[in-house]
Amino acid sequence: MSQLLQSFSYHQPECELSLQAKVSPLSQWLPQTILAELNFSLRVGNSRLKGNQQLLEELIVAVANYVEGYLQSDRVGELVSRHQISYGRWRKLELTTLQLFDLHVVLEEFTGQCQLLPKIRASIRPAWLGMVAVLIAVVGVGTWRVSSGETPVAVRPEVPQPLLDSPPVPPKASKDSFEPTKKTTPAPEKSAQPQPLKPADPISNGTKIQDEAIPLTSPTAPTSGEPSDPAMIPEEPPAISTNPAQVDPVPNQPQARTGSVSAKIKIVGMRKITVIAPNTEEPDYVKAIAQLNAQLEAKLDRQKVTISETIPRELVLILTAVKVANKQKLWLRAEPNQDNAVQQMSALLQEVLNQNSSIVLPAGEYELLLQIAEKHPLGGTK
Amino acid sequence: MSSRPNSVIQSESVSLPSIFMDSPDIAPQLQSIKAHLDLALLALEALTGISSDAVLKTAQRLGLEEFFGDRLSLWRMRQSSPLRKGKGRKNLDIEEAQALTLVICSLARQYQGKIRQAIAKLEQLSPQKQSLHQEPILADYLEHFHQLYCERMMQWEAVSPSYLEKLSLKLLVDLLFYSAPNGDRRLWIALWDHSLGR
Repeated sequence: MSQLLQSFSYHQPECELSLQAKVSPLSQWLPQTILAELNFSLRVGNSRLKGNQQLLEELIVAVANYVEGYLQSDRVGELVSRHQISYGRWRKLELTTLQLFDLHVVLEEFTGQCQLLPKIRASIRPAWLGMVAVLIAVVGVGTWRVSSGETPVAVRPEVPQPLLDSPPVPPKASKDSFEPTKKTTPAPEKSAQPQPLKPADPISNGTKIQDEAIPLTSPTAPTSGEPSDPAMIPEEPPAISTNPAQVDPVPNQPQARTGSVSAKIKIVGMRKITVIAPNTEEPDYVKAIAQLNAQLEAKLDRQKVTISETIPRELVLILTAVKVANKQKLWLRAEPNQDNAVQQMSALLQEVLNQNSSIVLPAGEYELLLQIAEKHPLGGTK
Repeated sequence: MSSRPNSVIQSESVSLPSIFMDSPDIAPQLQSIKAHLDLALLALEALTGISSDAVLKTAQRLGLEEFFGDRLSLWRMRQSSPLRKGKGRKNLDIEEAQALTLVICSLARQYQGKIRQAIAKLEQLSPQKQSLHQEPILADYLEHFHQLYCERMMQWEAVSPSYLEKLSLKLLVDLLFYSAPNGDRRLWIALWDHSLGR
């Protein structure tokens, strides 16, 4: 798991943010760059500060909350010309409106491009009300082969392909793919069985790949797979490209090819990943979900399983859904029942757990999000 | 989601004087999404002097022509504000509100320099308790805002000039934040939060 140390910087007239961080390999599946072990230095007005990832996270939350509260205030009384932002335990920043604005812009630009991967620290735990263990059974590991001699074919999961007659509304696209596994608790075999593609994906040489249920990535995908297009719009589920020519043939599944038009998918097993989702006290689901992300990655790392084997499309979509949920937090805000979104999510997860179900996503959040996003795709009209 | 049965922002009335008298620091004008959007655009007009043609051009650039066919359609949308004088339509579609949100934020970005300039002056003068009218950019803005408000809104007599000044300054600072990346989302949230009385 190679991680690259990278530097980033953001500028506004009154504010400069420079940071160094490790880029997580998860980034290639996600529209945002996932950073860990970050250190930053910030200048805003005459104030300067340096710190680590935790401090920056606290600052981001503090500034976002302050700005949100400020804009939502109906008060027109005294015009605030000094803004006091409290963050961390004892720290305070006193800013003019323009400084606050520039800091806000810089942090928005940063959080638009990058997401921080929180470390699981024992010290965080007492803050949680409880822990919800979530089983993500990674259903079915697809293995496939394309007979030698065929030209390499780029395989995309079906999801990212927009409908022809409508602009891509990515949450909807993801929803479609989630629908079958959402409420029901299908047997793993069932859910992972190859299904015919709805619109058959004609590929240049006439080969069709059935990839309805399982992402087709080579076991070497983390290094050889192409990272998802960085220009991809944030809400779009990530595409996974892979080159079949590099697929390590798995010894025990020689594929009986039916005709020359399809590569077969065979289920070779089921892997379980246990994830702990924090059941936070406040409706801070963004953080909760980030924790989920981190734990997923930690699991993957520890088990030394290649990502291609353990991240099927469902998981990629979960992570994408998380991104979308993070990104589109605003749509939830307009909804009356947003306050208990985390509780809903936890309840759902618990329910699924009780039923020993096979797949879990932040369903409460995600469904809500989808419904709203479908109705009011503000981002889509941009 | 199902709590909003259709995608139309229903007609709401803002009984201005009564609320206004009770709590002079709270802006009842912003509690209507339609009025809020109209006022944000009015603040932009007051600061930059942009015409409705400029608004339409921006809409066109954003690919929102279907909502902003001509000046009349823009006028109709804005006329849905319950604060407005005269008769107009009562409803505004969610899509129209979103389109207006995008246009306002795009214009705010376009004129961010001028908004910054005005706020810089405001920050210079406010702590010294000096009259804002001594700075031309602020004087112009405040005057234009007052003038446009009185021209277009009913019950403007019920609103004191000092209150109107505060309202216009709040809108000015808000515009700065709407010019940020994700400003459209911030405005959208603020619209709903104001309307829900949060």
